[in-house]
Amino acid sequence: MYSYCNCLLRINLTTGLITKEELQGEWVKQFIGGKGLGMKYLYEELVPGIDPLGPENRFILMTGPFTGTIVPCSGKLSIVTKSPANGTLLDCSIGGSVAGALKYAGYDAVIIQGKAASPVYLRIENSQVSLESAENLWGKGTRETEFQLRALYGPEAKVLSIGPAGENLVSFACISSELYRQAGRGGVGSVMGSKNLKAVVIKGTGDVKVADLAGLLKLVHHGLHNDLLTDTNLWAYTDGTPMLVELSQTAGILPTKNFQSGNFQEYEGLNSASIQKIRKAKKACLSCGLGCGNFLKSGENEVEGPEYETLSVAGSNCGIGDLKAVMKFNALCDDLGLDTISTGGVIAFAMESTEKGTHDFGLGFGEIDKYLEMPKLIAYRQGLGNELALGVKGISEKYGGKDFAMHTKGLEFPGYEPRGSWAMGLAYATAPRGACHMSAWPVAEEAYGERDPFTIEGKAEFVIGLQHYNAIKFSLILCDFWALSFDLMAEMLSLALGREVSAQQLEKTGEAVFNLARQFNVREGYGRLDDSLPPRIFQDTLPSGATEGRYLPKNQFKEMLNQYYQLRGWDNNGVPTLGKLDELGLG
Amino acid sequence: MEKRIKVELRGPLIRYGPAGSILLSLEGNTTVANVLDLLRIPEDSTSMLVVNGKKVNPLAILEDRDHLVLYPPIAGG
Repeated sequence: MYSYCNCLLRINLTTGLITKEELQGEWVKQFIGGKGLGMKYLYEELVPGIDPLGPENRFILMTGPFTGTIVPCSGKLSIVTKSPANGTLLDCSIGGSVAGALKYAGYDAVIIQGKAASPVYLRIENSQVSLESAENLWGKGTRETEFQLRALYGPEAKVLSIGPAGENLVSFACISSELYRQAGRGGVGSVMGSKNLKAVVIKGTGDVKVADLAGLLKLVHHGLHNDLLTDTNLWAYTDGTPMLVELSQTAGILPTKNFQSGNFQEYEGLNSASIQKIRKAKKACLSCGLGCGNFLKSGENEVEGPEYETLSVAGSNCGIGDLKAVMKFNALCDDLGLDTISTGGVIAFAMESTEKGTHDFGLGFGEIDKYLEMPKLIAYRQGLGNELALGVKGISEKYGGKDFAMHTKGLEFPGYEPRGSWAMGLAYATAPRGACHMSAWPVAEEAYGERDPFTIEGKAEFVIGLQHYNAIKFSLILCDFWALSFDLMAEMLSLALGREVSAQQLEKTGEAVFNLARQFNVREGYGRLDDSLPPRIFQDTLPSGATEGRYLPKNQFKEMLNQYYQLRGWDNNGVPTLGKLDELGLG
Repeated sequence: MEKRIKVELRGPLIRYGPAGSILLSLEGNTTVANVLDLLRIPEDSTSMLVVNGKKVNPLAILEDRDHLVLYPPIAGG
């Protein structure tokens, strides 16, 4: 079984039992790895309706066939679980080098179930696997946790850990690795917290055997020079995601003051030029030729990032144009174990609510001191922080303000205004985990490129294509910053596996992965009514810039959604038809 | 009439010009596409083309003292 270890590690935290299993061969053929294979295990092992924070939930770490090989941009690890934010299927990915370490230790995947009686961490050192007490780590931030574990196991040990937010079951708690990498969304960190699992530490010294090493080396060498290190991808090295600040500002989609505007007057303080003035180094994940990470230092502040999502949703969206403040916010969230997108989103909601008089949370746009107090209060659920920990959906249901509660399916909006990118609106509405920019990212062509952003024409087909593309990329698992073709993916996979896989097969697998996620959500009771956007998007026009006067008319959105369901082979309620499921091998 | 155009290149596109902004003196009806040709930048190496803070298409005609910013394609998000 080339490119796989054919070994899954299963940890039952309730009983302490640790077992090793062969991978389900048919599932591997059908879903490949990463997101797809992780979702298949979750779908088969969970019954509907279980509590995401209960012992029945699974916490799945999944690598892919390229993990640990010479294939570039293959350093990410998939994490799959049932979402504490909303009960949907949740898949996240985390960069760094932890995925490679797991494969080098001899495992394709880890499935963690049950709940430990007291705080533990999972130690994986090649064939030696054990649960160790984490009593002395509980309550510590992710930085201190990682430093202590590296001191114990050596600097080469790779760590996944949660901070106080995960321990306190905040529904937007994240997981950190290598200090600055996060699996951010949907409260994946609180699943670890609910299981009393503080960290996973991994050391691996093995290797990964591909079928045709010489062929793969030749293809990768060619791909590196002609497909990866090109004008199309090197923005990630020269600038990284902060480049999007200026692009979004120009396109009128930079979320500003809780999505009240798509233009932020102080955007220059957050743009790539400002980042580069204090950049000390570039950083990359294992096997990456791009190195998108920007390591910044200014005074006492040091952080890798902030990425665009933080600069926008936790910057302009909170009325903050001071880069040092956003850096500090970013570092606080990383250490406390909070997703910067959802944290920024819920603070921005509270700011608008206060400004409008809907409810006085004592927070105003641009108030840096109060803004910087919030992460700690949220992570420890103290005072106002305990209310903000409800997330945008929960807090708007409790205190009012649903018209400007910027979430879909209970997941807070990322940094792209859908009134200036209608396909992005459809992508948010139909992404399995809620408002998500990783399921499909039409912004590049629509808001930044030449495709008309203000029409529904052709958008359903466009979004579907992107969803399948990302579904297969994250199953292989490759970084989304490499804009490679299905053909190149198929060529590399064929050489790695030693059997022919076509680009068409991969496209079909992408479709199957996306439909499997839908099946999971349908089983949990999700349907058409949930595939929507906040009232603001349908009602309020944007005030200025390239999107001035724009909104997304609700009837146009409904028509776009109808077309989407029809093209997908789903019924009017968004449920995949039996014919479609049979066609995809999901029946 | 001579038109003075300020051009800024973003990201990897800086390899097509000198560091900092480029000042061009052009005659007649010059388009953004003409500037790309002049700087030998392939059109598919660009995404958003911006003149004076507004997104334009490659056939937009440049006026005296226009400020043109050229961006590379972006993937992911």
